[in-house]
Amino acid sequence: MLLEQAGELRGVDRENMTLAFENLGYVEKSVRQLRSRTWWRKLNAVSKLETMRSMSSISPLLSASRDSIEDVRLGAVRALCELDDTRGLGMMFQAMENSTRWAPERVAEAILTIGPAASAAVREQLQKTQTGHLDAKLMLIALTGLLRDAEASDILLNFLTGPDKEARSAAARALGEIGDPIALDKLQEALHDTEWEVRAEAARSLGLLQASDFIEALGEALSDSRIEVRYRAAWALYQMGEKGSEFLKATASKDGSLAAGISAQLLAEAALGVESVYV
Amino acid sequence: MFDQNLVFTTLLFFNWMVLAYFVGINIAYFGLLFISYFELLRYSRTIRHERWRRILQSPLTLPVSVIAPAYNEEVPIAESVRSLLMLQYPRMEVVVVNDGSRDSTMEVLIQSFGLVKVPTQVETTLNSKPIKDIYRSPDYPNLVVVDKENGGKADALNAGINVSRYGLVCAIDADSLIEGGALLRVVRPFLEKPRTTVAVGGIIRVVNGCDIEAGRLTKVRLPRSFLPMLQTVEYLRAFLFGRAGWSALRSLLIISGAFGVFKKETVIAVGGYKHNTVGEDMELVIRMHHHLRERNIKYDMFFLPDPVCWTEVPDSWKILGRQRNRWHRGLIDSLLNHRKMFMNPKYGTVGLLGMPYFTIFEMLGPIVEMSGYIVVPAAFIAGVIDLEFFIAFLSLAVLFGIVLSTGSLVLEELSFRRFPRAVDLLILLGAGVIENLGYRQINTLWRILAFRDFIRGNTAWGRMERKGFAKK
Repeated sequence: MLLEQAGELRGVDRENMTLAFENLGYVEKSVRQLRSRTWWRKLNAVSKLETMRSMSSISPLLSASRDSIEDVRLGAVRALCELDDTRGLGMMFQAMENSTRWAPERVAEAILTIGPAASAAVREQLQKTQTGHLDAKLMLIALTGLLRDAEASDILLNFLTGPDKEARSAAARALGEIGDPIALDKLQEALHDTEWEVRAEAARSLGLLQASDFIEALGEALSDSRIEVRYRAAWALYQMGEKGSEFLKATASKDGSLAAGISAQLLAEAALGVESVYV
Repeated sequence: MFDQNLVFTTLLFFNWMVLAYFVGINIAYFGLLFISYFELLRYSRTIRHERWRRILQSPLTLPVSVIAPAYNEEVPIAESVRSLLMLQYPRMEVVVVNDGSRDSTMEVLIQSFGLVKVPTQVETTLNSKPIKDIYRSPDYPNLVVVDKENGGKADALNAGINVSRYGLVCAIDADSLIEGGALLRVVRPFLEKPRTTVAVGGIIRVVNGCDIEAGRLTKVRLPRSFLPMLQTVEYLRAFLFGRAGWSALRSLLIISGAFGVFKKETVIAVGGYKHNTVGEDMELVIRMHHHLRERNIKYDMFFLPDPVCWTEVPDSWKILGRQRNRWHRGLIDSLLNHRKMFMNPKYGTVGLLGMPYFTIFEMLGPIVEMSGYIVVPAAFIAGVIDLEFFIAFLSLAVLFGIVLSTGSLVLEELSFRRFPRAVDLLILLGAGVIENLGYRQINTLWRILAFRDFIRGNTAWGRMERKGFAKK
């Protein structure tokens, strides 16, 4: 019950609770449990250590992050992230490279809990892994975006113009999340990519960057063959404020075309306040 | 008049057949029970450490389109949709498809959610009857209501998939109640194995008798009437050791239409839900196996025992009979459609284990069972088998049924403990005994009649009467 409560606490209350766990010997007990031969006991231990957040558990957790059981390893690195300890990151990047054993999404989820402190390591790893495992690469690209790491823009631009379509799409999205205007021209070029996923993400990012110089380019994307691209282009135009809205209204008045249809849809959805659900 | 020797030999032969079948089916059942036990134990030990809040808050959690087809659901629809909108999930849309209802389902929806018509572009990737209008609600940004011409459940689901915008689609029955955190739980395998997971099904539990307030289940109780009580045991057995076992064997052939999540890309690749079948949920899952195995694509399908969908089960013999007849017609249709997979090593465990089991024990089971009810007593009367054997056989048949039901309850207790009171478990144990004495035989008869209706080409669903959650 104490552990359940501890998970809800923040700030000084949480620190006090950690101190209480240490003084009551719970941390030590869980560390001992990590040496158990039974996988679910070890899993139980890493889970408790994650909640107790004691710095004295870092070393045993680092050992547990090399355990033979996947769940124990993942539990251990999550616990390390919860302690804002970046020493487990190397282990996590290795795990990402081997996605048959660890899901990169779940590892990335844990890295996100560390926050901006993980940015430099993620960027460094992304540079190393340019030609590496695809799933790991995609997740690192997504992480740079979610961590809003502006220093990663150059690396992402390389991916945006690279040969891999999934990496291009992920990079287009991440550049929008970061919001660095340096990416504008390349994003505009990406509106003509052969893959619709890349075009859709590029349109979304131009919207996030409120790139009002690119209204004409986004206007062309309103006639894209894929609805995903058309919708994001319309949404992006709507983000440009009055100029974008006027453009959409003018397009909507031209009956019958795909561009007119999607413009009318976006405007109707925006009038109801439901337009941002899909981007 | 009769050649006594021929009668004797025939009866003996049939008795051996029934005995062999009896041994076979019980080996399969106990095998499944054994596998499910370890699978559920492993799962419950892992899942208790999952940090659901982290998944809930993660921007990496995959968005889901929940598709709820509705036909003549004016009574439960508003409450059901409200409960769907309350699901804990970071990014989801609820697509309600009014499949040309003849009652006031659409009017209730418009009024309850303040719906407004929105001109919406739809990419028609799957065949469906024309969509009349699409509505949105200013109060519920993630609610989409599709009003279309009537075309049946499969057609409505296909239309919903066409309208949906996210990569995962969750097919549900509009008259069912999904537990608050169930969507999060059922999507977890897609986060764990995003490349390979194509379908995940949750458990269906009986809602009759439970307390429901404002679209939320507030207290789990056993049904107060006889038929729903027996069905509670049946559902526990079917899901906790049936589907959990098949999932572990990578041969899951059914993901209930009431609650399943699919990768949209794969559903579209196989052509969506099939029209003109009453077992569209099972048919889709088998077709996905068929498609993916033929192309040597690595994939995973899972049954999970903790994402719960609560459903109202029939409490009249007539309606239950119609439902079971329909289910069995769906099973026959799906298995015959994909008979190519039967015992075909090209389809791996699905072809070598799943298809033979479902064909021999599930599809043909009622015929053999009913033959047993006739042939074994006849053999006893004719003196082919002696009294000791006759009694031993009958006792074993009933005993195995009871042991399997009890086994399911043990799995329930070990893993999820939804029934908090010990007395509930005792009542369920009693129901597990009683169902062998009459109910099981009537069920067998319904399923035999399904063969007749299947041969006649009957694809009717049969009217279901729902009381709706609001009244409970």
